[in-house]
Amino acid sequence: MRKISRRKILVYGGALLLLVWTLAPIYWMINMSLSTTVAIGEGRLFPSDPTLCNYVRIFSDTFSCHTADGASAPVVGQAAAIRQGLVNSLIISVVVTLVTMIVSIPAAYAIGRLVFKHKVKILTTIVLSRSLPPVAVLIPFSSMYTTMHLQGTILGLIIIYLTLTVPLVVWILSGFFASLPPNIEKLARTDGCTRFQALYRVLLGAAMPGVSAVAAIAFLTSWNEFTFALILTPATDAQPFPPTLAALFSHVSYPNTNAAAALLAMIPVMIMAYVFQRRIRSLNLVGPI
Amino acid sequence: MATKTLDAPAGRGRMKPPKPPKSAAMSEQRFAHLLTLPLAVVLFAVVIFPVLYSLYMSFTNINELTGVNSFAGIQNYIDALTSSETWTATLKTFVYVFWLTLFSGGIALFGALVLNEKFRGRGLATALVILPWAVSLYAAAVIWRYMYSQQFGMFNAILGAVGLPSDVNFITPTSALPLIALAHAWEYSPLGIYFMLATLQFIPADLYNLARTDRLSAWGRFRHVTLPYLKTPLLIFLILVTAEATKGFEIAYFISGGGPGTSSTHLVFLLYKETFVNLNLSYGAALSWILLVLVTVITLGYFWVLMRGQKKDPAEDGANSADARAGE
Amino acid sequence: MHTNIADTALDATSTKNIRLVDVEKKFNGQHAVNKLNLEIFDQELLVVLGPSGSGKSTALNLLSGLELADAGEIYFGPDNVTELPTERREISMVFQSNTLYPHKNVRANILFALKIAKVPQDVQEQRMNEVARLLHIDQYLNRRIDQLSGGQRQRVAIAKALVKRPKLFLLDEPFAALDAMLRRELRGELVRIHRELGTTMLFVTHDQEEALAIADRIAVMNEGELVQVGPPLDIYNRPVTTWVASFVGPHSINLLDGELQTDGGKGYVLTKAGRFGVDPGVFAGAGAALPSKRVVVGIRPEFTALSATPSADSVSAEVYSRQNFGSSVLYQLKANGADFRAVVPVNHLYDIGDRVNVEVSWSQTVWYDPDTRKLAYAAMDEAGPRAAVSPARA
Repeated sequence: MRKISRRKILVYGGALLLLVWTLAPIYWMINMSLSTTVAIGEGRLFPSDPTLCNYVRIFSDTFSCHTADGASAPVVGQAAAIRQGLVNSLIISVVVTLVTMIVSIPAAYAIGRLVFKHKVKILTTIVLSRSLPPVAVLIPFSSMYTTMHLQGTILGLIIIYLTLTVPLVVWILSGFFASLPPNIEKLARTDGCTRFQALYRVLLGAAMPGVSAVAAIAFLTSWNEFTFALILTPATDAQPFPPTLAALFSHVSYPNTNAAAALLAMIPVMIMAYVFQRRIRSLNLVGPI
Repeated sequence: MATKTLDAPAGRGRMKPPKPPKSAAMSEQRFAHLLTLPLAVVLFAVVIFPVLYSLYMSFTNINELTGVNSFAGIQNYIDALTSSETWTATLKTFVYVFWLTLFSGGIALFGALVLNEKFRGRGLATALVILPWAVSLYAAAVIWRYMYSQQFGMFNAILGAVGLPSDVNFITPTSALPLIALAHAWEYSPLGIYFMLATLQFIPADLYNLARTDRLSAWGRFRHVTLPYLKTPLLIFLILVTAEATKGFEIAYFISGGGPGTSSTHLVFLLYKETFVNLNLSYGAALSWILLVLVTVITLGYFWVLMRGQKKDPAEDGANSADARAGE
Repeated sequence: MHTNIADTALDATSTKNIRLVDVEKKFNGQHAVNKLNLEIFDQELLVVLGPSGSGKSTALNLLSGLELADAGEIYFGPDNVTELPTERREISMVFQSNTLYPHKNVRANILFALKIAKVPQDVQEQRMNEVARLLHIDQYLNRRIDQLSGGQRQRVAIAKALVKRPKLFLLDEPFAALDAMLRRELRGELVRIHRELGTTMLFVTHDQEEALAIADRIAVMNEGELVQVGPPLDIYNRPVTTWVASFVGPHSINLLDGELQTDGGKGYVLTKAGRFGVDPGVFAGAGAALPSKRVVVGIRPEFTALSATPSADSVSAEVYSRQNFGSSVLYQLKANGADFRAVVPVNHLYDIGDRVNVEVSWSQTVWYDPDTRKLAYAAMDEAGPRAAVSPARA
């Protein structure tokens, strides 16, 4: 009896520790974003008089809200940049996800389920591309983009983001295709489908759980990318949200508004990851290096 | 029969494959090549060509401002390898990889073992664990910048709450690298947790029952059944962590900016500084190849351990020894 | 209705017959199928039987178009379909297991081919109701595939195949993954459906019991070659080689090398196991077919008898081991050190170590040339035993 309870204490203690480790940093951001500028300087573990003022401030160049203690919080003055950053991020992420899926689905199907000559070459390139340090990838792109006038453009970012998303998605998705029951495309052929029809009328449907999860991953990857955006679109209209946030840090000295802005970018991806976590977990995410 | 003659050239074109394509029906080969063509084009454009171009760049002197582009031979490499900056940064890279490996591996192992147990709220906990991975590296960097902050940091707030001095400067020349690595590990370890959790759930329950019949204690079961199963995934995860370390630019950028001084300027950060702050593109390209070689060497080292471990595995540990004992 | 399709000469000349002519298929330079000539009669259930690697599945894939022949031609009636892709061959196929579209429910699975073919909605419904009733799956048309048991899945797979009204229905070991009881149940269903609809079926299996149980005709394949084609009883009673004899039959046949002898006007066959007295008619037939007097005699265990008392024709043996099947018992015997198997009804149980005397029902024996291993003389024709009297049961 004693032994069982000791084990229980260990397990629950471990689970608590794991959750605190995972969630405390996120909690701290929430705490900051809900705190007044005065309160934040006092280093409180809980917001003394929580306010949504910071969230309002980052979106308005004119609005300054009053906090509970009566003090007026100053205007942040970066609303346009933040809005532009979010819109750019959304455009880039959607386009990158679409292009990635269009290129990757047929290829992942072929790699996962067909026998052909150049498979090994393609897989080698994918593993190679996954092991390249992003900063190293940036160097040639940065030089090429200067000559091609893609420096500081949304198109330029979309292209370079494909270096991140396409290899990852092809790798994960090909594993998913391979795990589908064998022979279903053969069955489709006997049902009167051509090879193409078998792919898009049958296999695609059967692979939908995997396809939607990797699409989410592709979206998260582009939405969250920082380094490429920082270097390739500094202070331009094409700048997505993450480097905009970095700029906020140097322009604005209110950590509570900065925390609110950072959280704003995190909330959609956290919701997405939470929704898809079961599917994401079933995929071979670790995949190649 | 007419179709046969029509397609004959295609058949002759590739003598090697065992079944030459023929007929109105598209061969599997041709279909597969058609499907992978867009991927091949994209991979060439965004991976192969840039990599080759980067190699070419490392042998030139490119001046972005004047547009001058002259051949430099191996001068960039010589400069890089003779610069003390490079060697300091290389050493720091090793230190960073060490800390990141330790933290990520430890957290992943711990998390997987916890989540493999049955407890109330386990499903929710398993789902929540993914959040740091989802928020990505730059957000993790922002978050941890505020965790460590001297003025607004959580750690200082906690210290204050228990009545200790609450304006500790955590980021010092000696602590910068491990603290950056800890933040990095927070973001990256969820993948490791899931990876190892999948392995743990794959261990057949019968093996634990067998171990019980062999009168192994809880610790013995962990030591002889669980651990041997985790060895390979742990090593694979560590290989991935090494590669991941080269993605740690933004985390250093936000938390320490490579400092204090140059105390957290590892190769990746040096690469950024030389290339995009000092605008020395060719030199940066040469440095990036040195970094790539370094990562490859570390990875191969792990692979060597992995292969060696797998070779001697059957004779030794865990599952097999439990089997062997049962046979006695 | 047709009682036994294969017996009627008309089917062999039907213009709807499906023919493989000199078909060859190589994988990595090895013949998977070599010079295959086979005719599938209209409306018959032909079972292709062979061990793994015999080329039987390749033959099926060539008929489906999923593989294309390297040489030779395939005809569906008058049409040469050798080059025709699968989707235009109007065939149906049932695979070994779990081959249904996982993301569609039962109804959508069954109707998919009709949708592709743009069959009108009302016809689709009507045909689906037909097959659903035929296979007793009406109750779970709206279930998801992962909610079905293995047996239910194969019922759905068969329904899906039949709803298309194919020219040829291919079944690739469809019941191999099911347990024995379920397998028999579904086989029964298949035979009944075949009788009812008259669909031309080609059924591939490695299980000789299955082949004997359901086939109109069996085509036996080994190492890429067609070895023997004929009605089940023909394959069972007159296997053309010693290999077919060993491969087909519920119990492994006794193949004894021996020599024909006459002693005091009576015919014997002298084998390692001992000297058996042979029925005169059979002795004469075998002797005429094998003038060298050297023979391999094939004795099916189920056509033997055991008795406690010796007779002039019997051979003495010792019971080495036994397996009781309820209605019959398999005895593994040692006769002069040679192995011999006998399967007899359970009227008297011998124990391990007992001495018994083996008698053979000669009218059901097969005789092979020891050099070519080919059939020289079969005591039984397709219709049944030539000599009606079996010494064991007399």
